Amino acid sequence: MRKGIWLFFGGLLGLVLAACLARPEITPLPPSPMLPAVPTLEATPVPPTETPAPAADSSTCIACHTSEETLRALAVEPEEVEHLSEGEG
Amino acid sequence: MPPLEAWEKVFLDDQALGEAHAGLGCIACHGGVGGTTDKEEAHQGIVRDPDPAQTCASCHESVVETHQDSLHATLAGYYTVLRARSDEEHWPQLMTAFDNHCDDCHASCGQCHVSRPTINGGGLLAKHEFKVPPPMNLTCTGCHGSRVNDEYKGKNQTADGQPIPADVHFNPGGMACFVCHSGDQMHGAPGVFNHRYDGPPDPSCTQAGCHENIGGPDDSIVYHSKPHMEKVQCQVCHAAPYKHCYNCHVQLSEEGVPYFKSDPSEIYFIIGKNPIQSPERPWEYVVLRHVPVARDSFAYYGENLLPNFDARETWTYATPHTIQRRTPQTESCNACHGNASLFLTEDFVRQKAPDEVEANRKVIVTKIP
Repeated sequence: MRKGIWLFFGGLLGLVLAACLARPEITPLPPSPMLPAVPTLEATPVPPTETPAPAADSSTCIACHTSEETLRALAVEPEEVEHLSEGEG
Repeated sequence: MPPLEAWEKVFLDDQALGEAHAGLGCIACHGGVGGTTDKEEAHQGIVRDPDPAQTCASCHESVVETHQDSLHATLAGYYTVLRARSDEEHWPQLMTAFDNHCDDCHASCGQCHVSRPTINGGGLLAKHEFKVPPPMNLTCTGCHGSRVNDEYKGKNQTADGQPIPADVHFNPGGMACFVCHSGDQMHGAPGVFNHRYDGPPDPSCTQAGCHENIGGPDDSIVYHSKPHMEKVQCQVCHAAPYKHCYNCHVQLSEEGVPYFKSDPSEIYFIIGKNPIQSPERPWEYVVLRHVPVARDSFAYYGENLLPNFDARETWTYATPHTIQRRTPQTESCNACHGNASLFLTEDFVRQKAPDEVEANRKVIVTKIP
């Protein structure tokens, strides 16, 4: 009787181990019709390019220099220099 | 030209910049600080007249390259004549004078295409629009005013008050400066030139598209004979009287302000020997113009700064802008031949500038043709 019990549990353990070691077959999903196929990436060399200098913000320059009112208020007439020259230049 | 108020000189229209230049923004060319409305802070590091090599050249490389060697940029013509008349010992003092009085006469890209020349006080031409070609009345004749402008537009008169007509190319021709003086010429031909008559005539009267058939088999004008064409510069027959300046003296005021004084100019026509005769300018006789220099022009800066003054003529090769089809000298053969009053004789030099006879020895006509 005791020998029969050991045989039963041994067989059960073998079934469990066999089930754990077995790999299920994985089948890939069909590509989604909503997504474009991902192209295969190949390693291509990228030529070095000059990084363009970022254009500094000139909006305040433009705002002032296109405003006649602002320029009239801020522009300073150059100091009048006495004209000492005589004759044609 | 009408003066500009200070605000007008820097009043711009951002639409006038044009798409290509507007995309660069102000700071890329002029420096300064963006993002602030404080005038002092915004103008820190500002450059009024950007260096073409650092700015314009990024797109206009070939133009900037030749312009950098052009006479408009290098002022090589000034150095050539000063080198000839001075020496190493006096050069440093001479260059001090040059820096104070002559060095402003540059023509950068911006000083023709964007603003009035600095020497005329600057100021945007058309709200920062890039003008191609430049407006001749604000740029070309802004600098070349005393002689070229007045001659070309007929603003001079003879000593006895007779008006001298405008150059036929201007009236009735209606030709602006750039019609003859092309952009390629203004931007400088490849190569190094020592003065404006270095190299072949450019423009040439007889170049393609102009008077190219003069002197040819189909030319019916008898005066355009081979001897005349070979020996006589076109202007000898076709220039009306033009301006001569004398005695320019430069100095500084007590406050350090540079200024000059020159004697009144004179208007007359004069023929002399060709001082720069070459295969490209083969003529024996050319018209001459007295240039504004004297032995003591720089005396304020030191004694005898032009020790070799006699090494170079003061009546120099000229191309006056007073061209007429008919002139007093073309009225008849004898209007020119044998007419001593048209030629630079020793007596004439002694009368006008007694101490310049030796300087002009090689251009003085000893035998009236």
